[in-house]
Amino acid sequence: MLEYLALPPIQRGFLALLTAGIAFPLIGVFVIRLNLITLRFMLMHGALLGSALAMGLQISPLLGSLVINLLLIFILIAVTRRGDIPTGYATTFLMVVSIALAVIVIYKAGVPAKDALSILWGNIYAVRGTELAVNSGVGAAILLFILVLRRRLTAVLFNYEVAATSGIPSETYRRVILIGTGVTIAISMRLVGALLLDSLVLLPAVSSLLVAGSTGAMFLVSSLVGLSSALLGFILSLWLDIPVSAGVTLTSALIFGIFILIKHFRRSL
Amino acid sequence: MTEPLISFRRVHVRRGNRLVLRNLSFDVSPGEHLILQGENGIGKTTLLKTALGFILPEKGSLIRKLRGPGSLAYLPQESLSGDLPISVREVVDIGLSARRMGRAERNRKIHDLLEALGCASLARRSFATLSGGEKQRVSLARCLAQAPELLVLDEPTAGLDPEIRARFYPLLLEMAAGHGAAVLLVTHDLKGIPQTGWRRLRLEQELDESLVREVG
Repeated sequence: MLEYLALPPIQRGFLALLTAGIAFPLIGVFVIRLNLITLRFMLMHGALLGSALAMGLQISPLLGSLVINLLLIFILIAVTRRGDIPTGYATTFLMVVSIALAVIVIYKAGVPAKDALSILWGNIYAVRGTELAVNSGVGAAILLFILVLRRRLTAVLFNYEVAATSGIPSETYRRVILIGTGVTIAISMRLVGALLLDSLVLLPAVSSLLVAGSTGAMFLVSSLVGLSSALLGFILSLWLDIPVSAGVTLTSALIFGIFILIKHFRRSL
Repeated sequence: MTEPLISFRRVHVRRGNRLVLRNLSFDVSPGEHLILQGENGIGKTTLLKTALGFILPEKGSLIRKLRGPGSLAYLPQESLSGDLPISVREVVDIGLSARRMGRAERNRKIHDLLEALGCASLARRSFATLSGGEKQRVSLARCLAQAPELLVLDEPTAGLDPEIRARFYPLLLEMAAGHGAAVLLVTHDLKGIPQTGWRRLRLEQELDESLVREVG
């Protein structure tokens, strides 16, 4: 099994998965706590549109997804700035428009059905050197963001209005979190695909919420669960000869199940 | 004469299609303790959120003469932390998050505030597991950690039993006076609030004007 790790595409995929496993669940914590679930749907559809456009233009799918997701985030910030259009309405509208445009692009640009399907499944072994660099840079930026601003971010997670009156620029942090979510989802789509993205971003975050007693522990546990899911999921996929995304999801789901049992037994005691 | 901390001057505030506050003029001065009463839907929470800067007036001027960020502390109707795994210590630390201080000084400050409010033994507990009364005392510690000039409270004891209410308000007045903070308390239920130590105001609507009248 170890001989596979000598192959450069597998090395790149492995490193990209580990980096994402450590950093992306931290964004998942914000997605869950700040109720950004509809935003995540919008970004998944945006990444699909970006990938379809990139395939049509024969450029990096990751680049296409990043550009479209950032564009969607900027549109969302502009549209919801005055507060008269709820974020949920705007994300739903942009999601529907994105998927409609993606279907048009796939049809008109003649993107083969197999390639279009690969957008849904992701492919970590297709990660290029530059994409690995982008993935690592984004992962490092997310870690740094949390480490440096953890106390202020705790306030934003606790209560948006309380944070604002405590002297924290909540709106600026919200925008940074939205941009971070857009970038994270674009990269996750490339790694594990739309269908299994939640196993890398959301499931570790949800697991941490089950067992952590403080926000520091919540961030740490979500990151450790993400790392374990990525590492063990990768090994499992090589061992059982199944797709990496399936291996990561199985591991992440197993850890989630164990944490549910821990919470249940803690209550019983 | 001392300048007001917040001055509403002929302020109009709209929520959706409804003009909730019309031509409202109203001051909050340093160190004063105000209770703002009024019927449900009259605009008390809108007034409070305008004072806090969450809602912008459509017309008129809102002048805030405050030291800077964090000078207004806000204790909302209910704590919206939900199931966030946050410790009591971390909740109080939110009040200090915009202030520059070393870790040792921060820890001492958090301990002192929790002790003053009788919550020192709860420091490591999860906030979500506290009773309603404990949560409000910890939230008051968070507000005081900001060293605010004005404490703004929106129905802080809604849903709490009378015994807890009777203990909370004297503690609030004592702590606010000790920290030199003005208090603006918005409530429709005066049960458990001491008779003395407050200036009582009532928000009313009259034709094309919102009025804040002194009562009792």
